[in-house]
Amino acid sequence: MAHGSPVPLTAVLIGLDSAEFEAISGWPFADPFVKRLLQEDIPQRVQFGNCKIWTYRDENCSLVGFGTLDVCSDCRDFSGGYPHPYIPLLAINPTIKSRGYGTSIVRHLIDEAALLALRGLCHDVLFLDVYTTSEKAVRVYAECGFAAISPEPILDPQEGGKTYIVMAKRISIAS
Amino acid sequence: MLTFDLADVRRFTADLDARMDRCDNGEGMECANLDGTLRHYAVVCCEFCERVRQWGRAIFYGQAAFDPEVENLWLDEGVELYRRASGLWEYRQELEGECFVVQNGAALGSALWRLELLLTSWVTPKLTIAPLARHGVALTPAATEEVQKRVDALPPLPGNWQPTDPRQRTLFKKLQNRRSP
Repeated sequence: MAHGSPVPLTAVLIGLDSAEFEAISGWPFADPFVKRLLQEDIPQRVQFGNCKIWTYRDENCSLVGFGTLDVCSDCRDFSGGYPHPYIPLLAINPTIKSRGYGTSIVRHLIDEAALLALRGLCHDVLFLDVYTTSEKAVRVYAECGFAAISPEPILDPQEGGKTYIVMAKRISIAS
Repeated sequence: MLTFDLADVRRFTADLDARMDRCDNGEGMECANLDGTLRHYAVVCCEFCERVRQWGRAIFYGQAAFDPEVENLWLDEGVELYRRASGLWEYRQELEGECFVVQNGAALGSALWRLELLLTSWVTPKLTIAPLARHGVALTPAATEEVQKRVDALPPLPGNWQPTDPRQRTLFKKLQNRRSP
């Protein structure tokens, strides 16, 4: 994963009925959980919640990844009961060689969440959860300033005993 | 607290039907004229969409069980509501431009658009597969305190933070201009 300046990508907001959503749903992800999350959870978060989906294109206009951002209450115990931004899922096109796209996508989502918080539309802490087996993703999030807030990995009995951590980042601007 | 068993949803949809019938029959003052009727249907469409969203979220987060009969009831009601509201919308379009502008036309248009999106991209709700949404942070009181401490200690973005995306930068500048005295 590249350090330093993020790779410039063009973000486009998409809908569930778009050709782009169909395209990303067909990507051959190595981890089947990503596909399930994209096909089962994301449409529900869009329809029943406040989730938005962006696709990202590089300078050659190639579709290199997607990111999602919801405003929900999954971590309301730690947001004073207020709705807060949450990243349900992001992924890089598995058929291409990543050049630091993950960092660029995470930064775009952080900026989007920061603007929501600045407008008073949500709490100023952005949350996400990630399986500890996704070491690369955990590293990218940490590089983008996310900190693990769960004291230790939490067991998920429904996913074959995998463990996950909850990470968070404050998105208000220092005065 | 809202529940979504069949009887509750039946009561909710029956109430919507009764309100639409009363409106169509011109009962009461609410639908005394076309503008009032448009407003009334806009409110009914919004209430319907919001209740379906609440139902979907309740199932997604494991707070309610999925019942296919309830789903059918929502779909039937949504289709009927769309039929009646879009008929009214078309009638309003025929009148508008001829001699007057109806104030609440835009409100119904927007509500109808939301309803159409909900129905055409219908998603059958099911329990989330994401661990956090299913289990939460699932902690002991001591660990909860520790998490809160960690959240409170998170540093803010630097004072010179700026988004990189051009659309975000434009919005940020607008927000800054609004805030500056």
